[in-house]
Amino acid sequence: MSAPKTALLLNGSPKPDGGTSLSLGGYLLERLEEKGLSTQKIRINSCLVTSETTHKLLEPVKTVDLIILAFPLYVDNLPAQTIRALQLIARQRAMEQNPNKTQFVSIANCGFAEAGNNRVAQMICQRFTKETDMEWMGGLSLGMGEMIGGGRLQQKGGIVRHVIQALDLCAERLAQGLVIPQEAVELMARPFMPAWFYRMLGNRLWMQRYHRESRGDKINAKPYLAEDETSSQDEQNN
Amino acid sequence: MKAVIFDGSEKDSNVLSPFCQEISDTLQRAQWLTNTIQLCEKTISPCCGALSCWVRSPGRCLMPGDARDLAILEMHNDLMIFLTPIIFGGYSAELKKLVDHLIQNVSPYFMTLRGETRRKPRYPFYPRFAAVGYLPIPDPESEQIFEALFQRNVLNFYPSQSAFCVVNGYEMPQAVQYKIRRCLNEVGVAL
Repeated sequence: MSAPKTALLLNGSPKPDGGTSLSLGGYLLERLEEKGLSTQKIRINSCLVTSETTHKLLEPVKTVDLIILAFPLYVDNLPAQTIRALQLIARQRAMEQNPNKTQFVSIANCGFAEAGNNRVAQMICQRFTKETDMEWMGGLSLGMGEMIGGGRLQQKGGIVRHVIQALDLCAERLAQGLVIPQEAVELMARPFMPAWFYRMLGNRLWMQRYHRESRGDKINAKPYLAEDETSSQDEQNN
Repeated sequence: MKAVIFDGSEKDSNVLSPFCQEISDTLQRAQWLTNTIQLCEKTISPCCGALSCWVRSPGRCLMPGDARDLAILEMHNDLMIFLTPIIFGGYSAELKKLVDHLIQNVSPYFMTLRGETRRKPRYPFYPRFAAVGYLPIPDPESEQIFEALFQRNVLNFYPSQSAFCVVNGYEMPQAVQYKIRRCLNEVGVAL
């Protein structure tokens, strides 16, 4: 595999500020830029609006050497719009005579404690590279993604040290055209704190956010409970 | 008994039609009321990840469009069926647009299930869950990914019964029929 000269970050986060995906992908992109690569970033959701905006996604993909796909895990999988983007890219490459031998790396983050929840999404990304004849450079998976919650990684303090180490290692290898090392995969997957503590903290933070933003419904409201179930519950309560 | 089929076909594609028909016929023969939703005909804004459906209006998505009504269907049926072309081993973007919105039907709170962190269920009961994936040609790797994805979804959707099958364009109609019927039978549809 040859050393890439250009890198493109595809941010699959639907959040306007880019969320944790931008924190992770953006950091890696900066390191690659320091190593002499020409870089560009695209927010997938803002591209999939009209055929003209879709062009903004598909055009750079044609010529770029390295794609970094950063995304949050949505219901065990990539977000819908990210799947749509991959479908469009695959369709475009199928129509090209000699598509570029693009390298592809993915960075998944999830709100669950365990980074392993991203495993199926990574399998889907790897399968995408196989079907589109791209080079699979590896996948990084992060759990407890809400601990980063967007913003610049460098400003998050010591808690993200292992994440930064993982991305630095990746930048080193990717800049040389090499697959990401297992050490980086393991560093990225290392939990920020014990899972039980994260669950306790997470539940407390959800309750605080609920108190700030709630319009009055209970946090455990069941608005779609079928009528017969509601009445049987009322009977039980009476 | 009631079932909803969420058909994740791409727009202008009728490749899943025979499978949808087979599912629907099997259910109707078993006296199930069946509602088929062509997701590509619905207006489903992509989930924006704001999670307002967990805090501002718990259990209800505030985005305009059909997402909320479709999420209601999950809770008002005894069986939820995903029908999808298998894309890179997973669901089509059309189906996934809906799936992303189903988080309004679980709680934001964490719990531990089989040693893993999961969201707590919001409702006391959830429908049975089946998924039928279509591949144009046999492809064991894609099938394996599809199964892994389905099994993860089972952990999040809290169905009392679940089953999946993968059909491909090279199979004889009788083989497809057998697979779909067996799948539905596994989720309690009497044949």
